[in-house]
Amino acid sequence: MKTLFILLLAASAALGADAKSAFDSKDYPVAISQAQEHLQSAPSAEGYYNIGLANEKKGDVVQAALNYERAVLLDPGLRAARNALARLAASKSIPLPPHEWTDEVRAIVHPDTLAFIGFALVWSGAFGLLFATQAARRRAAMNALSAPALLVGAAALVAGWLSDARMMMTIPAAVTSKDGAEVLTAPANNATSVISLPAGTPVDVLSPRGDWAYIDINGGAKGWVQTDRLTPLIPGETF
Amino acid sequence: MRKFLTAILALSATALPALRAATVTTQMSADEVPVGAIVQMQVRVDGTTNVTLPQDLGVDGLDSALTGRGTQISVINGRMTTSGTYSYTIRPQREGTFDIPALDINVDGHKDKTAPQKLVVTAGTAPQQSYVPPMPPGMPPGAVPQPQPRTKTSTNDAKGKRAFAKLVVPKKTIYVGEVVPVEAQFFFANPFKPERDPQVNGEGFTAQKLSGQPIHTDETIGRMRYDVYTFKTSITAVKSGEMKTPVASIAGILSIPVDEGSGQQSLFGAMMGLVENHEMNIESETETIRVKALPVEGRPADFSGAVGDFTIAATAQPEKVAAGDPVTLKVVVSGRGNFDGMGDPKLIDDAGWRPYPPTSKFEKTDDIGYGGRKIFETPMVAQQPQTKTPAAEFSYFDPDKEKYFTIQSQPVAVEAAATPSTEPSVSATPGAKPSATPAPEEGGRWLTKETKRSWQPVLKWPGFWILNGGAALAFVALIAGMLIRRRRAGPAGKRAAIERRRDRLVSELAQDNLADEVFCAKALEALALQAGLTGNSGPFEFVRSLETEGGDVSALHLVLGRADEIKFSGGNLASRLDVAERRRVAQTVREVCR
Repeated sequence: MKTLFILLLAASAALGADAKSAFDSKDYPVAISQAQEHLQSAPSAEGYYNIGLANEKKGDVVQAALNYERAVLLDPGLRAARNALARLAASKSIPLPPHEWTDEVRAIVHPDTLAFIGFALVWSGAFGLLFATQAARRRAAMNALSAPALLVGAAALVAGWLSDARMMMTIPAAVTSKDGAEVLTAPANNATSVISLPAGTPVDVLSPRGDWAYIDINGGAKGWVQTDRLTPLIPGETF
Repeated sequence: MRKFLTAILALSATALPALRAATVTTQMSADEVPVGAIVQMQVRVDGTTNVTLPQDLGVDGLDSALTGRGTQISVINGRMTTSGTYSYTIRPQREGTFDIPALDINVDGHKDKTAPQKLVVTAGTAPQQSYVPPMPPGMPPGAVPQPQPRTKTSTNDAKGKRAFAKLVVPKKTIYVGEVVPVEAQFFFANPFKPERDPQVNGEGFTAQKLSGQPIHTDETIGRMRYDVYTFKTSITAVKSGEMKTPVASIAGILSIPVDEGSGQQSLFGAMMGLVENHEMNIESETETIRVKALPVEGRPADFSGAVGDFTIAATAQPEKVAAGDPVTLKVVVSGRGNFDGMGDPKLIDDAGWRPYPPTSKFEKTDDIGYGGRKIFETPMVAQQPQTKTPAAEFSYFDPDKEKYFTIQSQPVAVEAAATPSTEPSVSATPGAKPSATPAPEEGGRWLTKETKRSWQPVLKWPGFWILNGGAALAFVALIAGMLIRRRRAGPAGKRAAIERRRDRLVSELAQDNLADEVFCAKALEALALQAGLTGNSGPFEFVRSLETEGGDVSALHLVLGRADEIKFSGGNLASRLDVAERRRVAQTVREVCR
């Protein structure tokens, strides 16, 4: 079993190396293809960043933005991906996702890590408080350590929950239609336009309805967009 | 006796009117009417109100019902008179001459008759009037005729000013773009049912939507009492010149009583509640108002069309930011005026800042949006180290002072590190703030090290929740264990433990192969435990208490007598119990320990 695992890791590393050599030789389509194959074993923020980078070099800024956003969704602390999005925003007018307090949290600690820390602290605090009831000595000290641990742990769990974009009830997506997307007031082609979104704009799909999706444009306006103009950030997810 | 006779006479004098015979008069509201018209027949009985009448006239071709009943009591020169008025509503069904026979009525227990009447019904159209019953008690619901079609009337017809509108404009001279608060007042002397919302419209003016809930007051003009409904709104002129003020209007149905409308049939109309429904469009009269263009002289270069009276203030959040993070400058323009036509404040001294297009929102402080505050939020990123934000400048025209003003907010102290690289772009998302991502880098490099992640967050992993469930189970099990231990350590737990030990000893006494000293020691221990459970200080006291109660405990003395011997002999007893004695002891111990 251990041998199999090592072999798998070695194969994975080899695939990554091939993609890098294709990228270095400026064969971007091959680099993208091999990096995508590499990601099939398990997703990684760095892998999506690499695909985004190859797309950017190839000139496909919409796909580049989509993959950078995927990388940030997987690892909000990956500065290379955030820098790349800022670069696209500056050079290609691809809209940036809005800055929220959760970004601050995510950039410091990954939500998964926060959840684990919260889990450990909550139960340590709970067991500590329980044992303190039985302790003949140092009961006050045990309580003084356990109660804050419990509270901090609970806060960490909640923060991990709230700051994790993957936990949201909405479906994160991006406009990937080359000519952008028109946001309408109703799911009908003749409805009034709310705003025109350029390609690459990150949105949250609140409620998909057939060919239409009700979207939230980064906590701002809401409206209806045709789903064929959007791509979910999480591969394989559908509207 | 004289006093008695005087009292009799006085009583007779006051009672005389009541003793007089009641008089019955009958009157028709019209002698000749077209088919379908409504006629009233009134029966008046003076002198009493104790009258019983038939519920209808009983004439073929005439729909009729007793629909009204009124009582009048008056005292004139010390004399009290009473009278009752009873109304029949008649609707002819066909043309012809109808004889309404004398009706048999009961007056104070005596039979009486009304005067017979004649009604000529002609072919033709009934007058457009409707009957609104005055809701007399006991009126059969089916007797209420349905309303007739309505007439169309304007406010300026012969009915006079029963309803009219006024638009109160406080100024005779205004400026283009100036927001002028006005009041739309609607006066109704009679009940009015609106069929559409009131409006204020006028060429060359825009008007705000009228305030939702009008103010209702009473006002008497001449001899007429009006219900007055006042709506607040504001108008803004969009071009200069001599203009007509906008018109306040409302459409609906005015219900005018028949007697007031025609000047005839007042007695019946008032009594029966006959009304005519008039479909009306009530409009205010226009006045001339002078609209002046905004002066060109003295107009600031950054004037964006704000007309009114305003103040400006600014705050910034956060006050301390890292490189690349945005500061949001919040500029609040408060006052009264045309907030709709207000442009963004201009930032001055903004060198070293990269501002983004501001978002704005308006918070009104009155019903019509004349007063309020407009909040402009401008995100900006420092391009070089900054200690204060730019100031915001805003120009407006004050129509009262008839001159332009330019006001400026103070710069806000902040601590902002510089962005080390090129500028981020403006977000295309409305209301979205720029991301506080690090500065963009040139190009990028392929990453070779990676951390495998999952699209499924840890909080959605089943394993994570199984782990939590395990911890929760352990926690609950620990609590349960602690509770059990605590229970065992308590008096009940201790007693239960003693009982268990005692029962075990008692059962062991049944074994014949026990050594004599062991048997005696176990029996003594069982007795001692039972003594403790029953509140005795020891086995001797316990046995004595049993003897006192009359129990046969002679067998127990065989054991008690050897207690000291067992204790001090080291187990070598001088005599031994035979099997029968042992069984007797075991039996007695079992019984006393029950």
